[in-house]
Amino acid sequence: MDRSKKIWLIVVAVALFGTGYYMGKNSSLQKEDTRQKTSEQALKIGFMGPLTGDAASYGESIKKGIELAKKESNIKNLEIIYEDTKCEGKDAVNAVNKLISVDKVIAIIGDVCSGATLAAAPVAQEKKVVLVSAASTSPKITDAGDYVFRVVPSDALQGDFGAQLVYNKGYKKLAILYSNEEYGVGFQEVLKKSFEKLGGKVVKQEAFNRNVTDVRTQLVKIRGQKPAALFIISNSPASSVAALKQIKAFGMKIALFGSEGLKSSDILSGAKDAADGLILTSVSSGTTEFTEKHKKEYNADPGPFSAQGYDAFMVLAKAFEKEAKTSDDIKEALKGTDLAGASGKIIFDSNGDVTGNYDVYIVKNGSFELSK
Amino acid sequence: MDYLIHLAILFSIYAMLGITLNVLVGYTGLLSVSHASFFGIGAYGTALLMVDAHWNFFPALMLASIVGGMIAYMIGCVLSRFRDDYYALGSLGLNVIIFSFFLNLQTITRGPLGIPGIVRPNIGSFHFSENSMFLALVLCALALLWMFFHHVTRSSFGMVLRAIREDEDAIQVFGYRTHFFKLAIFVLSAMGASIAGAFFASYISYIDPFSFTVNESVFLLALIILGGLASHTGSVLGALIFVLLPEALRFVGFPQEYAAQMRQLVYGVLLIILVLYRPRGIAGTYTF
Repeated sequence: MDRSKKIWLIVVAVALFGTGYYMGKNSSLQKEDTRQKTSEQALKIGFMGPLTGDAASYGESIKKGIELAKKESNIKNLEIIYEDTKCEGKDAVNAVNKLISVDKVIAIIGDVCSGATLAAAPVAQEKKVVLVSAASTSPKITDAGDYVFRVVPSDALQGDFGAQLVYNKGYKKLAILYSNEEYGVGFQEVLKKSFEKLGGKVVKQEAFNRNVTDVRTQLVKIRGQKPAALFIISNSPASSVAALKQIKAFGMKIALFGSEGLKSSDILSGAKDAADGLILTSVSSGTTEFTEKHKKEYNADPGPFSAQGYDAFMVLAKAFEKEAKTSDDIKEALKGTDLAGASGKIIFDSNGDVTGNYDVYIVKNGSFELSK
Repeated sequence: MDYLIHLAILFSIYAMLGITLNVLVGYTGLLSVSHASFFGIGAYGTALLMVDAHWNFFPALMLASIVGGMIAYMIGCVLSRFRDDYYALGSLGLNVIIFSFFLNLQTITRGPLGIPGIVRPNIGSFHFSENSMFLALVLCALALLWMFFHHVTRSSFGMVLRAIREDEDAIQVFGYRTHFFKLAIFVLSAMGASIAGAFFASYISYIDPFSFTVNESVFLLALIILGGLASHTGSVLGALIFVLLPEALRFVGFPQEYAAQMRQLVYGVLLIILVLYRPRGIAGTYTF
């Protein structure tokens, strides 16, 4: 590399740094202005979640929900500090430590992925700072501590709900195709247990690795057991589309069910008529009222967990209204939460979990129809 | 202050990983892309012994590092027959295999669910639950590892390692069976990484397979290459940069809307500049 190239690189780096610094300074100046107008003491809450990396779309959509709620709540002297965790345990521990000991936040919304939340929870618990997750559904979070709350129901409940749905539709032999990660494994365990408790039989469970686009081997094994229904648990659109197409290509006559991860427009556009008749259970994507508000603000439909992000902020805002100033106050206030939120009714049980607010959708003519 | 102590602990763990990888890559010239797998074996071994069998941290650490060493021995028997590019490819495959074990051996490792609730070390009734106490413990471990590998690389054994790096054929002519030397340093390096893994598991208190992917191995390689190959100081400086730089960027006042993306961008550019100006790393004595 010659000298001029090196110089160019340095110029680029300095320019990047400079613009960042300048813009940051400007925005912090503005912040100071508003702060002086309202009150001296600012309430600080933190957000941690994936803002970069492959789960960034979840983080961004939750952030939109939070910003919307913040705008509505009219709490003047409130500052939200956003930290990126890339959905990784190590980064989540970095972020939670930074938020608590440097920014001195009194509550944190986050993380998004269950693994990251589980890594951050002991720190929040030890420092006695309330953590409210908007999207972590692992059953293990139930026992993560009394400072850990979530506004999204545990997979244990969706597994129960799914099992009942399949059973009530009259299918007694079920096969499960699930993604081999925290979400898929936890979900399928509960689904199997609940379904067999109801009197059905799970004849085959097959796993695939996240983002693979060939599940033919698994399908051949499933076909061999002749199940009446197949439950697909996946939160990778690429894998879900591949599975649906390959099921159709195999000509399998089987009732199809899916988890909330399949409720994405990518599935409709990717799988086309292969998705017809697919029945989905899904955590609520928001009331019509919320959807309208979101559309008005951002000119787009709410993304995944956006409604839950909105609710996570709202339960905290309710606690602030009750004059909760310390983390312990907030914890106590949250226990008494009774909120008609954007994703349904929010009442925390003694473990900081909410009961499930699920919808059932069916794919008809290339769109998701809410079925009652 | 708590935040700084937290970063210091993370730095110490990565410094251990850096030192143990550097003896393999820097001193012996074996481009290994499997360090994260031994990091993982140490973490999983310790976590399982502590959570399921209720062992104390210290015997768990020892057993985990012995297990790491034994696995390294078995794989090393094959791997040490390779050199250069083939060594890198073989070790990469090894990392993928071990990651798959973590992910799929669900009856033991609980697969993607991970293992929560790993506790801090204790000696009798004295618990290292305070972060500052834990930091002292990790720093001691780092110092011991540093001293140990300092002696290894300065000894006549270390000279042979460097000779293998410079010209494996030549040293074979002198009657050294380089295969054994490569195997020995591979096992030592793996045991060191397992020790770092034990501290990692106990500190973070939750581990899952995704912390030990090939990406992590590549990250560790970048860490020692930027810090400086064939230099213990280099490994430690590399860990310092790689742990502190991304955290320091959290404090640059980028605007809220795209702060996270800007941080990644600036981080990347800074690393490129570092490589351009210091191709040998900060304290390196050798380049490939």
